[in-house]
Amino acid sequence: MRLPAVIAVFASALHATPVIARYSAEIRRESASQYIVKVSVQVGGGEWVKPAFTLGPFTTGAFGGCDGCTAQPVGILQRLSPAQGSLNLVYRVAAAPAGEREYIPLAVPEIPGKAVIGSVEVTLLPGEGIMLEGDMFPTFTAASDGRWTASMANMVNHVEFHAGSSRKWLGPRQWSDLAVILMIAGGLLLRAALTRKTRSA
Amino acid sequence: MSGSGFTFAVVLVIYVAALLAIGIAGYRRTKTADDFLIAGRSIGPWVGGAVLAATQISAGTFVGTAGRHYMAGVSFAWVWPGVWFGWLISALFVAPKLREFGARTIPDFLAVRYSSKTARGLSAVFIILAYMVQLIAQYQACGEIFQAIFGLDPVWAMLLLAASTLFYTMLGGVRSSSYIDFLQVLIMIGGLLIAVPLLLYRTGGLATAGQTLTSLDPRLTGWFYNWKIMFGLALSFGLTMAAAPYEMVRFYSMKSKAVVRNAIGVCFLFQAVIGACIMMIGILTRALYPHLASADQASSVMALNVLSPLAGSLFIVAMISAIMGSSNAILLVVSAGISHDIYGTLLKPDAPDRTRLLLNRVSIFVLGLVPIWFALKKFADVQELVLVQTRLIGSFFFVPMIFGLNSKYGTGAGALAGMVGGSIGCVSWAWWGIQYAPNIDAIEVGIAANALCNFTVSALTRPQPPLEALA
Repeated sequence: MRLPAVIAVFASALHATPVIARYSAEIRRESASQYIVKVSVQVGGGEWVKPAFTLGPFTTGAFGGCDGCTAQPVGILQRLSPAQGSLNLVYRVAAAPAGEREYIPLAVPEIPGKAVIGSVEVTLLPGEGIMLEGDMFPTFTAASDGRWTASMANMVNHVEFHAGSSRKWLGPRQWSDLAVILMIAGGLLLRAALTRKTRSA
Repeated sequence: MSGSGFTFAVVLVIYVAALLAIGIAGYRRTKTADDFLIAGRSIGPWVGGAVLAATQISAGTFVGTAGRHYMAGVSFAWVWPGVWFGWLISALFVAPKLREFGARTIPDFLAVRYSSKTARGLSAVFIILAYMVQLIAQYQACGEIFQAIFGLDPVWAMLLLAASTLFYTMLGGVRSSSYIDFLQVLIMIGGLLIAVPLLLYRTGGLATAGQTLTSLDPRLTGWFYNWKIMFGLALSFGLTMAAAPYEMVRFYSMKSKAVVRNAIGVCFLFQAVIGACIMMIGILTRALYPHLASADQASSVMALNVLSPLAGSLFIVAMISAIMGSSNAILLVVSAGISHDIYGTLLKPDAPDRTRLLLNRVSIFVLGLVPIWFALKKFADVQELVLVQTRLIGSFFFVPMIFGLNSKYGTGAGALAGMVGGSIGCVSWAWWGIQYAPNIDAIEVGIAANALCNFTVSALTRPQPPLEALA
């Protein structure tokens, strides 16, 4: 191997960029008023010096503190730094009042992920007998043991859902589907009208 | 796209079927090279406006511009006034005069205006080279989208794009591509208008999204680049827009001068809506997904995760439409450079119309496949590739087109010196000059060098006798 090539390989090794190879979050309803969130990550590609996570936004005082890590408010976000040598976080978030939409912020690492499908997994345990109603973000799938899971390629800053005892079907996603259908129908009608007008002219 | 692959497949099949139908209808009506290149000058203001918008709104917009907004925030929107300034210059000083001139291609105009066959050949070759960069950007963006959404190897995505675009471009030329552009603009606007409210809902509304962005990085809601760099970028887009051959050649296909002006107004309207929505998508996706692997994946990630399967499919089809619309326009203009300007005028002026039409289609096929290799190499991000092309085109064409159409001053030798000097100035500034003065954009140097060389050499040389009038 020639010297420039050796130098290039050496330089690329020195500047190896860390990426999040795997991200998993578990959201568990701890009590009627609080959720506990456990986040763990695996890093690839290089060393992640001074790991930090972005958490939020919190428009109200919903952040309940984190265990074994430091939290520093930055505007409406929190910047979480785990204990030295750890890539795991545990924090608490207030639950929404009964009947309202749950909004649970997720701690997002300040380095990018690999963007590989399935490398990001969020597990939600809303509590016994409670199911997610209608619109949810991201899309969760129910498992048999009361868990709901979402498997993705990218790390999102929050999950939101409506917890209850029955399913509701009409949410923003459904409304947007309706808008698409109406738009296509409107386009076809307009085209038919224009064709008729051109023919009659 | 979990659980929605079927929805996307159905939407895509319907869309491709519509394209094929329009392509075949265009083929039936395309009998001569004039039909193929300028649609028999039959395009009206609404379709014309959509054509101009679809030509300019490309992968650079849906992937690159959304990505830049994701990375740099709101302030990148200042490139749009530059684009609209370019359209204004075009509407006042370029488009109507060019339409009246009655040429088929931009090298046609330069050859006659400056009485120079060399200007024709040089500009045709330059168009081919510069637009290949733009085509590489389109292919690269297509690869990014399909990789982000389906985990598909980019080469397959690029081959799919090449196959579908080549099919309808080779069949119907400008006529079918104009009607397809109209359909594509409607899909783009529909997809964007559905995506933005849903994104706003997910980010908690405009105020919360704004506070989130400011907390992430205050530059996202303030200035990311300084105003001098933004001015350079806006100028780069605007001046190129005013003299871009792949936009200008579309004026030739419109019915009259008045239709051209109205079409620019319609295009302006379409672009304002699209530009505002693209900005919202870039910045709101940043609020939701603060640290993506690649800024270029912002719009794909949004379509995949935030929208419903149906709306997401529509949005992805809109992105693919934007890529296809631009690829198609580029292929038409570069193939015209080969078949009409180089072969049909310089090499074999007596070539029959049928041979030219065949060469046009063969060049579209070959030129449609070449960029795949370069796109797989990923020399730069999508927006950077688009910027390289805009700088090259602006530096080469802006001065000879604007002055050629609006003034009698200037000789063939002057125009040639300007075009060569402008492109050398632009490339050399981008290569090494920018490190000494990063606030000066390569297009500013390119246009200044072009004007300086053009005026100096024109003052020292005599005009040549006029070439033969256009056929």
